Amino acid sequence: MTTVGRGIRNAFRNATRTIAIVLILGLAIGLALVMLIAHRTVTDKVASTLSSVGNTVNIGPPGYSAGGLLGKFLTTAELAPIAHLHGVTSLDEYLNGAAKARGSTQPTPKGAVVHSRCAHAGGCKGQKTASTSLKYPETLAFATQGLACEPKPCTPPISFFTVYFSGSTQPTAPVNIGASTLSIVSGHAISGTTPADVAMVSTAMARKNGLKVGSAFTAYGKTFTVAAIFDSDTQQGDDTVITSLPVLEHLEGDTGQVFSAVVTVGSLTELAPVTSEIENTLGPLASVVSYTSDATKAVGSLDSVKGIALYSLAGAVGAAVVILLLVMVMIVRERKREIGILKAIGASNGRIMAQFTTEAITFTLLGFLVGLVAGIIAASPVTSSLVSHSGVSSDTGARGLFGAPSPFLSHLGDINAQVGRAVILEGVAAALVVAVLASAAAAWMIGRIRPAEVLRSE
Amino acid sequence: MLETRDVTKSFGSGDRSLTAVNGVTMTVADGEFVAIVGRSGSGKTTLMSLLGALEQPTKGMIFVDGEDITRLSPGELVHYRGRKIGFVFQSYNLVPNLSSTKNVMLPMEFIGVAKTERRTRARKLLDQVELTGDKQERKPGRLSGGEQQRVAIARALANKPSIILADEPAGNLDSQTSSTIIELLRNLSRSEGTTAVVVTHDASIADQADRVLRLEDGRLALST
Repeated sequence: MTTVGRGIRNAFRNATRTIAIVLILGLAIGLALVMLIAHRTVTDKVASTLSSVGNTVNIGPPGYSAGGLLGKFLTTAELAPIAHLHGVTSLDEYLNGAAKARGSTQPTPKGAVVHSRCAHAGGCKGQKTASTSLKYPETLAFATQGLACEPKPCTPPISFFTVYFSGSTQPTAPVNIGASTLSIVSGHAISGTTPADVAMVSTAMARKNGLKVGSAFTAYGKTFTVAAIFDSDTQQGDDTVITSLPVLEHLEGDTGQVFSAVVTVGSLTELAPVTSEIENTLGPLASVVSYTSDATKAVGSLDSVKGIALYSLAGAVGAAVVILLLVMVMIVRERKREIGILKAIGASNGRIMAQFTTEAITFTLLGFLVGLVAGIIAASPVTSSLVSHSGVSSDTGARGLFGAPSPFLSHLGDINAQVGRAVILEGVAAALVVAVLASAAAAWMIGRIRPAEVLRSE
Repeated sequence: MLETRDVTKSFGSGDRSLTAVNGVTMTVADGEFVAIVGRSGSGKTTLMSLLGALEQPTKGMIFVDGEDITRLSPGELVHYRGRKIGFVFQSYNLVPNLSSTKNVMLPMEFIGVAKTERRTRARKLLDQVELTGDKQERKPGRLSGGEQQRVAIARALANKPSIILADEPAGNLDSQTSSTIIELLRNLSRSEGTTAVVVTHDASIADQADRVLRLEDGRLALST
C-alpha cells in the first residue's frame, strides 16, 4: 500500500465520522457550487445582454423613443453625414410598412391603431390602402394582440389582419423586425439596396402561405419573389416581410424617407462620443437613443446578484476550509502517537504530510460529490430566486424603436442556471485547493511532532 | 558496532535544566544482546531515543558502524532510522487499520523496497515470529498482546537493521509470553546478526542478555 493508498484508506477509518465530515463539507461545497453557478450564469447573462445590445445607436424622428412622432420623417440625405462620422462602421436605414392580409373581412376602421409600430403620426401608409396575398401567419388570438381602437369605447377590429413590411439597408439586422435574432434558414439574404421586388419571409409566414424560396406573392399591387426564409425569436419578427429600403420607400411612396436608422460603432468606448456627434449633426431633426445605457441600467441589478453570489461563494469556500482544517487538526492530534511511530520507523515528514493531505483530499472530493448533487438540485431555483428578488426588469423606462422596450432586454429576467463541465472542473479545482489549504495546519503540526515523545509516553 | 562517547542530554535551560543522560560512554558489539536496566526516571528511555536518533544529544557523540549520527542532517536521520534502526515498543504501536503483513511492509516502503519483495519478506518475517495463516492478514485489534508484539518484532527486523532498540518489549505481557517474546527477539537478532538493546525492569529478561548496563540518575553505574 502506498502513501496515497493509506491516505485514502485512513479517510474511511471511522465510518460515522467520515459520513459526518462528508455531509458537512458537502453542504458547504454545495453552497459554494450554487453560488459559483449563480455568479457564472448572471455574469454570462450580463455579458450576453450587453453583447446583444452591441455598439449601436438608434436614430428616429423626434419623439419616436417615446412611442410617437413629433416631427417629420428623416431622409436618406439627412442621415448621409452620419455614415462618415469617426467611429461609425455601418449605417442601417429603415422604413416600415403594412398591408392588409388575405382573409381580412372588414376594412380598417377609421382611427384604428393596429400596432404600435404604425402608431406614429404618419402611420404605415399601406395599412389603410394596400393589401397582400399573404395570410396572417398566426392564429386569431395572436392577431388580436395589440389591437386597439379609438375613440373608446369601441370594438377592436379583430377581423383585420396586417402583414408588416420592413425595408432596410441591412435586411438581416434583427432589430428592424423587432427581434434580437434573425437567421436565414433557406435561400440567400437580399441586398438592402436592390431595386428588385424580392423579399424575405419568416418560416411561420412561409408555412402559413405555402411559400418556399422562389415562390411568388403579391403586395402593394406588385409581385414579389421569396429570396430567403428566416427564423426570428419574436412574433413581431415572424409576421414581417423584409424588403430592401428602396423597394419599400417606393411602395409606401416615401422615396428618400426613412423611419429610423441604426448606427454601429467600432467599439463601446466610442459609443458615447459618436452618440453625441450624431445628436450634434442631426440636431432637432432626430431623436437619438442608445440601448447600451438602457442595458447597463437594466443589468445593474444583476450586478448586485453577482456581488451576493461572489461573497456567498467566498464565505462557503472559507467555511469549507475552516471545517476541513479543524477536522484535520483533530485527526492529527488523535493520531499523534501513530505519526511519531511512522517517523520512528523511517517515514519522512513529507511522506506523512502527503498521507494526511491525501486523506483531506479524499474527504473533500467525497464532499464535492455530495455538494455537486446539492448544487445540481439547488442551482436553478436559488439563482432564479436571487434574480427575482434583485428587482431585475427588462423595462428600464427608456424606449427604442416604436416606443417599445429594447428587444435585447426582453428576456433579462429569464435565467437558466446549469451545471456545466467548466463549473464541475472549477469545483474540483477549488475542492483540491480547500484540501491543501486545510492540510496546511495539519502539516505544520505533523512537522512539530517529535517521535521521541512517543517513546517517552510509553 | 554501536558506540557512545560522553553522551549527555539535558532538557530545559539554566536553573530548570534537567540532565536525563549524563556522560554515558559505552560500546555494544555487533550481534550483542544488551539489557539496560534502571529505576524509573534513570534515563533509560532518553538513552534509547538518542541511540535511535529520535533526539539529538546536548553533547557527546554516537557512532553507529563508524558513522557519527549526531552530525547527520534531518533528512539523513530519517534515512538512518529507516535503514539502521528497528524499534520495538512496550505498547506495540502497530498501525491499527493495517493488517499484520502491511504493518511489517511499512518500513520497507519508506526505504523504497518493491511491493512484491516487501510482501514476500513481510510474510517470511511473520512466519519467523510464528504468526502464521490468517493471522498475517488480521488487523492488530484482532490479535493478542503477544501476537501484536511478534508483529512489532517482525516490523523492527523488516529493513535488516544494524540495531534493534526495544523499550520494555514484554512490559504488557504475561510472564510466559514475555519469556517467549524475549527469546524470539534474542534468536532473531542473532540469526539476522543484529545488535539488540533492550530496556527492561524485568530481572529475568536482563538475565538472558549478553550484558547488562545499569543506569542511575543518567549515569552508567554498572556494566556486567
